[in-house]
Amino acid sequence: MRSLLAANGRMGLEPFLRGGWQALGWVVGETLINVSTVLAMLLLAGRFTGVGPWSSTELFFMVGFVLVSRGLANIFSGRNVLMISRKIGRGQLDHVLVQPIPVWKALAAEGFSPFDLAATLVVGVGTLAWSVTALPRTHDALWFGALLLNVAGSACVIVAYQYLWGALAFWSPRGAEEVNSVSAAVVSDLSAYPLDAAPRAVLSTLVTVVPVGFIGWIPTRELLQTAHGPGVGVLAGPAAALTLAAITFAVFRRGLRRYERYGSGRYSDFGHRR
Amino acid sequence: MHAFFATMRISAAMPVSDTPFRIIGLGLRVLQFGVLVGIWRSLPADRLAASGLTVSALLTYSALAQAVGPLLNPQTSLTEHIANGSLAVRMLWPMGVVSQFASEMLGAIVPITLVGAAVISGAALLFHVPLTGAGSPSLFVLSLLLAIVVGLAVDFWFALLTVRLGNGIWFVNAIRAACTSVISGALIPLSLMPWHVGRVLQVLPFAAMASGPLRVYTQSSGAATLLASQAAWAIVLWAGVVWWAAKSRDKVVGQGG
Repeated sequence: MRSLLAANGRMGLEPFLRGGWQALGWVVGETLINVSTVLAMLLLAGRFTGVGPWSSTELFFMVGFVLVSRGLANIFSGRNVLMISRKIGRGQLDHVLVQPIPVWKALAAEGFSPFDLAATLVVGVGTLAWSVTALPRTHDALWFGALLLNVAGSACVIVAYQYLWGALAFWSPRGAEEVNSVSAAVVSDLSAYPLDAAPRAVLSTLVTVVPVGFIGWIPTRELLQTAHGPGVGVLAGPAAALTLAAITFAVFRRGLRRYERYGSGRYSDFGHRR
Repeated sequence: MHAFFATMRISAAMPVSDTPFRIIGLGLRVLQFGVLVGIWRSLPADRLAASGLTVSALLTYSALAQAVGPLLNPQTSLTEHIANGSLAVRMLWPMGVVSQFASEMLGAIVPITLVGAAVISGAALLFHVPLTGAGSPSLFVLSLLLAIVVGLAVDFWFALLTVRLGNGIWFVNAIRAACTSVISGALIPLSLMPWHVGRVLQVLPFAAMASGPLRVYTQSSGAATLLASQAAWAIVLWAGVVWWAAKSRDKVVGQGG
């Protein structure tokens, strides 16, 4: 496993080994693509003293938290591993199944991209570190432990959510690719906003059917205790991550069994991307 | 013009199997709108007033931006056809390149925009968001048409950029998609941006794609200046497209077109 991770990690150096403008273009492009999704929130945090119960610094904390979570998810799920519907629908899951290691290990190794997809994590760590030092209160080791646990939980929510929608490709290869693109857009577009004043119907949706509230808003709200009244606790984010992961695991396993029985539909007469 | 509208009609007939995904995409717009409604209502009123905006105008601005969203960032399939070499076939069509790609794109997004506008209007009523702006609706329509013309020119600029970058289509499109909604003012009004960022963005062509028509509808004054700015950008950008396309002809041919 270690050698597989190392080999995939080295492949991530490819954009940089091209050198010159191509390497610079990759770094700038990757940074722009990822930071632009939180740019609106950063700009609002810079312009106003706060949004509702959130101060500017707390908003920066939320943005940093989300970028770190997304960065972690990207680093361990690069090369279409996060967009699993593509691998399933296009028959590329066969490449994973023929390997003499468990599916999860093969996917984790294949998606490992510590260099080429590190831009989000680097920007996120910087933003998070700055905001923690700027917050008007001190934090103990327990708080930092809770922070790390919640970051891991948020990254898990992102991966599990993408896999839950992506698993639809076992049944509907073409449709799932479209849905998976939209689900990825939901994560990137809506995960770094404070949802305190969102209309009730929208808020309910964002903490259930589309659980992006558990990626940024709820974990950071609990860590910073910005909520008016009782919160749901710092373990709410990781607990939601575990629940979602369990549901995703069950759905994915069921889909995998179907795939093992029928194989990829790509090579049939009406196959997707034949 | 008959060929233009015929292509639009053909393009508008989307496969039935695409309907669920369009509905999901529309749902995302409603959610984003709801999130923005919550944020605008949470902003400190005094700081908002300093930006020359009211909460009411801000809510209308966002409702309109989501309602006509696809028209504020028009994207044709030109880059894909350049990337996979099928532009050569398109050049044999009995229509100009601009005309065929524009009609195809408009045919695909106009029906979605109409349905989306109805759904967002319903959501606006549900969220108690006013839909009536201080500006003139007819001037807004004119401004929206100019925004589409500017947006198409920007799309052609990006397509020619992919030619120059040796077909980096995915990368260019991703950067474009990522940045345009923020720097065009489609997501948040440019006047709400800090450190004079908004003033700089206001003079860029991206502002003519979204911020222009949205301000024409939500502001009571300044429509003439905004329309003139959009018209100027349309002329400059299309003149640039013609010049750059002629200059890139050899490269386009080399890449299959």
